[in-house]
Amino acid sequence: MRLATTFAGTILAMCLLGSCSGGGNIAAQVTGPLICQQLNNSLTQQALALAIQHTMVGQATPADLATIMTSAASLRVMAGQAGEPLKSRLTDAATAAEGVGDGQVTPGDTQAVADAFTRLGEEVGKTCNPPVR
Amino acid sequence: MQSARSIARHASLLVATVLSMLGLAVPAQAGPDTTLCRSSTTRATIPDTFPLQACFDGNKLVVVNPLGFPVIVSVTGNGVGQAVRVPKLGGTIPSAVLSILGPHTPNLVPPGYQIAVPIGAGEAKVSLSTTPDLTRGYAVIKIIWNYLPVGESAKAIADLVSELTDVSEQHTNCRNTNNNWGDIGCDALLYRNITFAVARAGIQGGVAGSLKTLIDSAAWSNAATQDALKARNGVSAFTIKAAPAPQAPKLPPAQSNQPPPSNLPVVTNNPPSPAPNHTQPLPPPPVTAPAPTPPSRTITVQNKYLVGASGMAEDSIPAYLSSRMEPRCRVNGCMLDGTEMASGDTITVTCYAHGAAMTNQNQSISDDDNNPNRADSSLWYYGTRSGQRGFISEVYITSQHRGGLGLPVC
Repeated sequence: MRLATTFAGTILAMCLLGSCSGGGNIAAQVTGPLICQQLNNSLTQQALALAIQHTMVGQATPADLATIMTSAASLRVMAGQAGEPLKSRLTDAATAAEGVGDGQVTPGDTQAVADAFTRLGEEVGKTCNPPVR
Repeated sequence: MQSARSIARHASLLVATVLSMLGLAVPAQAGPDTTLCRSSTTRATIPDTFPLQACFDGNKLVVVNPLGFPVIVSVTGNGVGQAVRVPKLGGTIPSAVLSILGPHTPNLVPPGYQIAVPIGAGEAKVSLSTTPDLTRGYAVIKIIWNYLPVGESAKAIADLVSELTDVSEQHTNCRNTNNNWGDIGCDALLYRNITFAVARAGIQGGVAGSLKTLIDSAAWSNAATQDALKARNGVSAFTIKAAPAPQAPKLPPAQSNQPPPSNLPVVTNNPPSPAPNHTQPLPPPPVTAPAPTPPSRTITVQNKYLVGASGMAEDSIPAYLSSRMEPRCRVNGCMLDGTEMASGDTITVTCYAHGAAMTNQNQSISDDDNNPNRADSSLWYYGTRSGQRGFISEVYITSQHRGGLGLPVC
């Protein structure tokens, strides 16, 4: 385990430095930890969580709505880098976030956020070991 | 490395901060309080660190809750009577709502309330406890109370609180089994469930957001509640010793050789003894105590409701005796005909019991919430009027005649 982690970390560091040109199996190996690092960006997660909360209780500010849309865009970027099934979960979460990003929250929007982010959380938990939290 | 004292200080500060954020009172002014009764320390000494204000007068334990959350005061032992609960320190949650909170017992003492518990001659053990559900239910009711539609039934409120408690539990489980991304989903689910619950209860307004904020912090507040009792390093239990056994009255020494005062021979069912050359002494005549008079008290009706911050007005609908301890007997068929009473009328009562919680305030407005004449109680007297026997809530009785008056429990 220690060896695998070190190997993956080495590959990841190389990729981050721009020297990673690999694909196939090696790319799949590094995608997990990279995505976990990005998903661990607590600032993105916390800002999105707070903005969605404000939206649901009808207290969203324009800044909250902007945060939601920016965060949704980040989720789509991460989806582009992730493999399945995390890719789909990230895409669904981005779509759900965009659904409340207009400030008009319907029961369906709320349900979509609940479903998409709960499933995203489950998938992140499986992908990132140990769990993000 | 921090010392234990330093850690305790930081813990206390944390608890105080948490309670403050939740709008709860920081524990203060507790322990023995001789203003509550004519204190007697013969059988019990209230610990200085007891978290509630308490006083024992030798026959009755009086306890006031100055904390920011409800507490159950358990008193067990031979001869312990039924607790009677009344508002004391500006307690503002109506009794009707308190009965929803879970344990249907007057031993549940919400913030700002007092209970008085008759203590018999036997040993009695006093202990404090609270539960997360109780704390949560109280917090939820505080929020929803002002949003409830006029005339909302107690059952509807209880259903709502029960549903919100379930929702809260689901939310706690959801967050406990998820990471930060999943928590966003948990929060959305919580809000959806709360919105549905309050809509089913017919509540409108911004209460859902307030409830979500509350429930988001429910797990925290419960922990804080438990910690609050510990943080004071308080003693949450004590014992009231049994009263000393009464000394037997000194009787004159037995004079068995003396003839019975009546000089009558002893009559037995046994055949005569062949050599009964002496008469046996008679046992002392039985001492028959006079038949105890059933206790009774004459109480005065106060058929009034609160008006504004300090007033009262006569209710145009007369008070009456009922066959059940519940409201609206006039329309529900439990009113005893011919027992109508107005303020100033008197009635002789012989015992009391606890039934539906009643209030003399108008629950659809808040102007009278702090009216000093406010009465909230589940105590009902049992008495006779016009040849009919039935119950009347003590909230319709003058204040000096409330509290059970030392009568037995029916």
